[in-house]
Amino acid sequence: MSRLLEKHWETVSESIVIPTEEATLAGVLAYPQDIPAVGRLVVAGPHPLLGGTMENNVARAIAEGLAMSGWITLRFDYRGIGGSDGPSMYDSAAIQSFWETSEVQDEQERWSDLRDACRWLVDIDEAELPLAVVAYSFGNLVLSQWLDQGGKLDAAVCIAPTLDQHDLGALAKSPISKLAIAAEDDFATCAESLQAELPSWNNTKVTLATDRDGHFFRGHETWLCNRIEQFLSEFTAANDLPHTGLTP
Amino acid sequence: MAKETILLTGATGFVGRYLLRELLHHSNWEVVVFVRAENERHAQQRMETVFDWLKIDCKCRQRVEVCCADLTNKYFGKSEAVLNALQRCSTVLHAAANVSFFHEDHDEPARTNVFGTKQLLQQVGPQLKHWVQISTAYVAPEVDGVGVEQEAKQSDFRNEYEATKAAAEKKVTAAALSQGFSLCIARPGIVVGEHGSGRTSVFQGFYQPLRAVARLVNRARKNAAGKVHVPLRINVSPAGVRNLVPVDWVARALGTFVEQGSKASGIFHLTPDLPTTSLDVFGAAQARWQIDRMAFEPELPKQEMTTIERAFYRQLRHIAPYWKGEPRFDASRRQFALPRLPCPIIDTEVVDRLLGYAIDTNWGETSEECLNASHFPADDYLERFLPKHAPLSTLPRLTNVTAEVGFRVLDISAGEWRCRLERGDVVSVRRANCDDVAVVFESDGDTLGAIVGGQLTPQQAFFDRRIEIAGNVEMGLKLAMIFGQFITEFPYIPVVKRGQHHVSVA
Repeated sequence: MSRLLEKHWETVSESIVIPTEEATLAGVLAYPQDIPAVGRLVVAGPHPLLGGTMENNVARAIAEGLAMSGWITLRFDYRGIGGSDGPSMYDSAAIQSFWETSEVQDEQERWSDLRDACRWLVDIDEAELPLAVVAYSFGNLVLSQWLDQGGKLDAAVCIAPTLDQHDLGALAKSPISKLAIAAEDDFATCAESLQAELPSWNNTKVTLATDRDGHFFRGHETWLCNRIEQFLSEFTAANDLPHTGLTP
Repeated sequence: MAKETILLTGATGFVGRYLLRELLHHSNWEVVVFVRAENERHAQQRMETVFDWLKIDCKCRQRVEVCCADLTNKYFGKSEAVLNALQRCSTVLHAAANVSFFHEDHDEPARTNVFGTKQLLQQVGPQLKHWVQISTAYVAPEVDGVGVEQEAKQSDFRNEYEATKAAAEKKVTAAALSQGFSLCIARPGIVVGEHGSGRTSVFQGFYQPLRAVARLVNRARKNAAGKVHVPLRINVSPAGVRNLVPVDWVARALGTFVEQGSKASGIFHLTPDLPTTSLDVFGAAQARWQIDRMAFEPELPKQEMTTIERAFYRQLRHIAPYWKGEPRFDASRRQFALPRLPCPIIDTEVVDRLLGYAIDTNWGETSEECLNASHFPADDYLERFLPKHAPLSTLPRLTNVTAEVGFRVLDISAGEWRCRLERGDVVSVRRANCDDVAVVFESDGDTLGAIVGGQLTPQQAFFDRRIEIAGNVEMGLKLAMIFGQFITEFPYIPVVKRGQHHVSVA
């Protein structure tokens, strides 16, 4: 049994907005009510055209669950989606493009949304707390690109990394401490790719799951939270981390 | 015997209502019930419905004090009425539970099962002498493959329900030690309807595979011998154990534990002395529906399943951890404590009674509920509304979108439709078998109605597991996105009048 269930209802959730140069992002901040926070955590969600809002089952469960374990968490909508400003991603040209290529024109720029969300989270509190990012599905591409741009954080959790669809090289090479969780029956990445590539990732613990609803982890959100919480607990216990700050 | 007061939680639930009847008909207790409701009046109304269902007479009803209280509310215990009730109870019979197997919104089932229990423990008074906790046999640790009547120890449970019930056991055990009351943890197996009549108020768990068979039977034809052919292979062993226990026996056993007080301390399994088998269950279904053959193929590989079989097993995904086989449970302590109350055997004959009641009551759905909740006019939407409005939407601009998509509606609105999109145009929609379609959306009519009405996005329905995508999942997610766009432009609002659907368009 996880600590999650032991620490029920001790969190506060607030709807927030994150002003950025391109758009105002909508987000939800959750944090422990009665205990000092142990770290900051941002959730980078799945692809906006595949239901990737901050209300996605995985994004929401992790943000809420890890807040119960003492983390200040932030989930947010990418620009143009949900409550965030920006050009809508649902115009016919974007849909046409996505239908054929599984990509939309400016999706490569979403890393700046993650950067801005992390920057906002770091700025709200002066405490020297570690920063972690939990990336799910397409969120792994976003995280990888941010790292490629010089983004700095202390730990990362990569759920259902889309190895067969995106170049996650920067994420794979990054020296930061990582946990990768994937399902062997993931529709987006075949088991062979997961087994061949993930063990070679730098400084990465790997959990390959079966019977966890493939890519989606529906009904297994608490199981995910437990694994992540365990990893982050070990990480914070093993590292007396100074806060690394954020760039660029 | 002096009248004492007992607190019963979960009295409006399935097992809870039978416990209430047991306490009123076979004991002297004054009963306090906590009912989740908007106000006291609403709480009373909810209980009146339960009294009526149980056929409780007026005299017995007067022994019940109804309190509007929600164990999971953070203000629980702040009201005078609730505090007063809690200070009078010498025994707690804690039956309130959320039986969802998986994580749901508002942190259920943990919210009710763990947090609710914790809150109740914090509020009970020092006069409390005995606590009876209803848990589940499936948290039992296994010794040589047999679940034993000992403290739950494992950390990896089959689902959220088990994990939260084990956590609740832990909390109540710790409280019993620190607060000094005696504790009885009763762990039932799978609770089904009454042994003698098959009567029940819920149709989950054990009933789900039988209901799925019923759907296949409804669509099947009879052969020359008058037998129904159901193209289904049951992928379990016929000798596989099913730990079914009748609800009236469970209530009687728990009522006895309440009466025994501190003598009934410890963990007790309310599990079958002689378990039902899969053959008993499906044998009863075969006989009732005159099915020509029920084939058991325990090793049936997933890739060799037919589309119908895959659809059948998808309907059972919630009970998947128990489907292939259940453990046997040791119930020695319970047998010793209740020597005159053996568990009734649930054989083919009893399963048939359970099935008969389910069929007679249309699996618990009243005609009013059918109209309001489940009778979504899928045919009107897919065959008339969609082709009519698609040309007016964004769809024709999606000139590269060519695909065939299936819609499979699984409940009372049951049917299958194939929809062909060519260069963004909906060129045909017809009612036909979807077995060879690349992408099939499967849901109940209620969910499809909520989606096409714009109350629920297809993606959210998928994340909530209210809709499934069979076949090419990636293409299915893309089509769901396109379909969702069409719905934002043209939501469908059926207006129900006397069982017929008239359609208005927003």
